[in-house]
Amino acid sequence: MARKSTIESNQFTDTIYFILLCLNEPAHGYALMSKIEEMTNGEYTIGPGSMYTTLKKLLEAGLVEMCDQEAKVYCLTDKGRDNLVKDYVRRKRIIDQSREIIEGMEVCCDGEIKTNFELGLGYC
Amino acid sequence: MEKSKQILNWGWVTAEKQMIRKFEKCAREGWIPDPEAHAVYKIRMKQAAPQDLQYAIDWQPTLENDAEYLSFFEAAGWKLALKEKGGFYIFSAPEGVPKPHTDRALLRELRKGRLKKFIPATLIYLLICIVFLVSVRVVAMPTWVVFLLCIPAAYCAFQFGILLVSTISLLVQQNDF
Repeated sequence: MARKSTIESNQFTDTIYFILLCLNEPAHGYALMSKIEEMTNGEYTIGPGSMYTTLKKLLEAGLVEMCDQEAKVYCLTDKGRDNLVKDYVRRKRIIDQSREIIEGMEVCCDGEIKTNFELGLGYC
Repeated sequence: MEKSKQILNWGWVTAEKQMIRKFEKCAREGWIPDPEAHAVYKIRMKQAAPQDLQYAIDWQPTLENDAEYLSFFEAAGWKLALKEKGGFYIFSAPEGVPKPHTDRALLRELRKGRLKKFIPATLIYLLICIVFLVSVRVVAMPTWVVFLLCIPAAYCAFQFGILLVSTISLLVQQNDF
């Protein structure tokens, strides 16, 4: 059986997730690139090729729409909003399920054994 | 008169990495592609100030109006260096500008889409070549007919070769990750 695309499978890639998240307010496609970079403090960058292709795929899937054809402004559809929330819940569930293990992990820090929780999830 | 030189086009699918390296080397030596010049297997380069540029290729075969598409690249610091037949867009940017494709899963999906088009075409050309070779051996036909058939057969064999190399190249890139 052919593997479903990331959009159809409803397990979004980080690129799709951030695009939908930032489309909470209507925006130009190219403005989204800098918006995502600002929101993530420069930790996440989306290149123009990935941004353009992903937006077209999201348009085809009905998750976003062009709310201003002339100005090329994109916005989230109801379907897009629903799927974004579903993916948020999925991501949150993964974090919740792994929290206990991750925070309880012991690491040796300056000769002392500490848990990740005691270290504030920072690096030793 | 503006100085120019020509370089061989090895193909954007068959030799993507080699072409990018060649363009980057040319830019360092003071040569950039001339967007006005079009040739099938050669690219005209025009003289410019030596610079450290990075190049990237993107494929958009179904794009009718590319104004919005190009605006995305411009906003990200990428300038259109060359536009080739078949929807190949070649962009240049100063070093340090993030690559146009940052999403590996998406890139893999795009390559898979390309492979879906290339594999049947490769098989069709292979089939035509086999039919030609078998018919020449089995069916008795005058020499002039054989010669006449050689022209389309040679074309098919050439296309098959190009498509085969392109398909293998895409499969290798697909397994790079």
